[in-house]
Amino acid sequence: MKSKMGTFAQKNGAWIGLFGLSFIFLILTHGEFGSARNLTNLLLQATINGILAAGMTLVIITSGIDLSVGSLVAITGIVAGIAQLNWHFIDLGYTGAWLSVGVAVLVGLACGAISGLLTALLGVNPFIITLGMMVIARGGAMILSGGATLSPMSDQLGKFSDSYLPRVPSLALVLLFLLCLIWVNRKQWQNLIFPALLLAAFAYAFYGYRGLPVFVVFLVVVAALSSFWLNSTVFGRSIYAIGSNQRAAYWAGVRIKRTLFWVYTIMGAFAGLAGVLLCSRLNSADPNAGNLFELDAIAAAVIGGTSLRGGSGTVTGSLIGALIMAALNNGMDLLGISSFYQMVLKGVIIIVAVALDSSQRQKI
Amino acid sequence: MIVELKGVTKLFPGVKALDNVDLTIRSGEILGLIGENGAGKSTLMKILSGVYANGTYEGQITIDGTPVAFSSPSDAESHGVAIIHQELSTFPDLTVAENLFVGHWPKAASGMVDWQRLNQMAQTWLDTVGAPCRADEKIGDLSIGTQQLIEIAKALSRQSKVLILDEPTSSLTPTESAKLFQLLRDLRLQGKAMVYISHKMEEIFALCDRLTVLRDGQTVCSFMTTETNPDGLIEHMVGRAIQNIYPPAPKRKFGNPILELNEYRARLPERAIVLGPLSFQIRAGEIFGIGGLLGAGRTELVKAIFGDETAEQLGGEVRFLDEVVKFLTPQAALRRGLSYVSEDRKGESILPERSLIENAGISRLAVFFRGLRINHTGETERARTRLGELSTKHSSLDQSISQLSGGNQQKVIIARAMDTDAKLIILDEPTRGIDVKAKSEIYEIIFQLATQGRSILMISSDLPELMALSDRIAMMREGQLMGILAREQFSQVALMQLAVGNARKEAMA
Repeated sequence: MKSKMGTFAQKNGAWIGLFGLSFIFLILTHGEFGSARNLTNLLLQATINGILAAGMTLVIITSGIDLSVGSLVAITGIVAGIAQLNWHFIDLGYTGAWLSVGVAVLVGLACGAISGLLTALLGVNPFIITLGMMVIARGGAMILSGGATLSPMSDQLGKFSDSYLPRVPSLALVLLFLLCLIWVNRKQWQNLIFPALLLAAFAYAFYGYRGLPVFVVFLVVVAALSSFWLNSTVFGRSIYAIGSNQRAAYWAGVRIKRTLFWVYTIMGAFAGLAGVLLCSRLNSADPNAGNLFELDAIAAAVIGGTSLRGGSGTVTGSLIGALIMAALNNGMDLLGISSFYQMVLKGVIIIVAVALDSSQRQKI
Repeated sequence: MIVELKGVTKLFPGVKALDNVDLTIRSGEILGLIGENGAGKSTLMKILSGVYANGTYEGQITIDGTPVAFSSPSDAESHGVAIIHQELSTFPDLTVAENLFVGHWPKAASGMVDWQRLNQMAQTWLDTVGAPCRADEKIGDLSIGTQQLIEIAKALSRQSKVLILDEPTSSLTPTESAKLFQLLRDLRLQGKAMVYISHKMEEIFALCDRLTVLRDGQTVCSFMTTETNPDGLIEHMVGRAIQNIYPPAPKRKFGNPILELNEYRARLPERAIVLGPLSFQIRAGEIFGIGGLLGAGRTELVKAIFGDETAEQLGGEVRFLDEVVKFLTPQAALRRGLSYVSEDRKGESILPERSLIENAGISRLAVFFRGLRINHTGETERARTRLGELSTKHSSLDQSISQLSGGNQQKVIIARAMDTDAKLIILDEPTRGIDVKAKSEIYEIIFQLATQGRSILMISSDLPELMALSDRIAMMREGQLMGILAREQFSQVALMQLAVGNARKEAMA
């Protein structure tokens, strides 16, 4: 019985962490943390890190790392800003907004492809390659912007981060999603407890505040896509195989170079999306944006159970990790803790979470 | 001195690995610990050597009647119990001396390592075990056999009284093995107690004084070596009488040549070996064996054919299914109908922590799957059928392959190779480190595959095995083909003569 509880706790460590943390903040803030408005806000805060964490999950499962994502967020944001202001996409309304998204994603994809190509072909440690890309992209962002912040963005681009589906359809969507989840897991009800709780919280938040934020839809699409790739395609199987044992994967016929190339390319494209979404949210493009975002994404993935040794991890786990990170920021903001102390506390919690997880693993 | 383990029980999630096991180890005696893979030998020895700390199992360990509780391997070592693992745990970039005294380096007055004294002390121990190396050589440059002797020297230098040797000869040449045996016999005279784990009957009977047999986590029996014989021992191990572990070779008609090498020459820069010129052909339905001593270039040859990136073809040609081929990647070879099972199960075969379904299906998916979405149900059914055909023992298809015994892991890897519908399957040491029963089952599988008309190229260092399975055997030495014998010409003497080369033959004559 004890061991059963143990494995349950181990499998759901991130979930327990998320709900435990929320519970603590709920008490400390006298319920304010759990208000519909704040929960919606929390989700908005988690979105960009969630998108990056989804891509980072793919990278880390191959036992790689991508340190350039923060800088890619900056350079793609700047390119989107240039598109808006210098190329006058700002005058094209929604078409212009979507074109800006497209340009940013393409630039991110191209940068990722360069990292991927070098990692795959030269076989150089991705730590080094992406470290170089991190510095190059930051420098590129400075050059392109002249070191200045570009603003404002078009209202239509701004809408991406500031519009909501109506409340009733939002509620219906969440319920529909819940039903799908129940159907998929109908034989393993214990997998359902935490996701159902989370969805219930969001249903309450969307209904109680302004509805489902459109911003979050981007995250849902990215996460669904990554999850599908990992679980149901040869690409995903190759990712797990490479991270689990690259030599065995090679002799089994896995296309190692091609897979690694696409993993870094996808990470770059996601960083591009995150870059333009950040512009939308801030209504400006800042060459200093995205500082240390790569570390937040790595932390979210690792807190969510993705092993840095490669070969294991899930997108769902990383999303919970991103929510934990957002909950920490949000909760501490509500409590009025100074951002200096927040940094220290966040670091401590990341270390504790991973230490707990690895000590759990060793016991088995 | 007497070490006793009493009533040892160890549970893993869902499995009782050891069930009330008793074991007695006496000084001046070599105890053979015998059993199939998965019988619990390694688990028992991990308990005795402190790898599984006190408290994670039930039961009692006593040394000369005093109960002891080991919390870690170093704790066990301080009580005089040392284990020498099958896979050596050395630091390849450090010198022999540094490895010997790792963590216990002698220090000079200044607090720095006293290199001179370190090397002197090390050399003394190296001479004791007769290791042919200097104390200041890098350990990674030495042969596995020498490294093994150094591991033993390390244990002796820490005043170990009980030595546990887990399949020490699995990567040794016959000369190295003989040397090791002499050392173990000397240590016996000096009053050391030794536990010897091995699957090789000749070794067990040549070396051990007493034998304890484990089966399914229980002690089956314990007797003096003189009281039994190999057949009797195998019977105790598998729990049923096995007359012969080799099934009879089924009658087959051989078809057209599948693989043909003409004056093939290649080089693998990493391994510093030049192959060939080699010429031979393998027909459909044929089991073609390649024998030879370690370092003969057998693995290098099949890897070069199978698409090793580092291989460099120097001349000649490889024909596969009537076409000249030159595979640049394993992926290309698999696509055309060739598949390969590596000799290095842990390093080049299994995807640890991944499920049996993923492990069995990866090659077919990676090479042939063209759709967008993998059909999970179909994939599961495919794995179920394949693993069923090979009678793999597992609790669920979703379990991690790391939880299976070596023999069952190997079956999953063979399932992976079969899954691509290959015309020719290359099996490199397919039964290395797996138990008698699983070996026997793998032989059945090989015959089954050949009966279906597939060709098998099998590399093995085990001559009886090679002779029982192969229709023809090619012997290699230093990258050259020394000769090909047909079944009626097989004899251990004839094959060994080819393996060691003409010089030796002349010397013997």
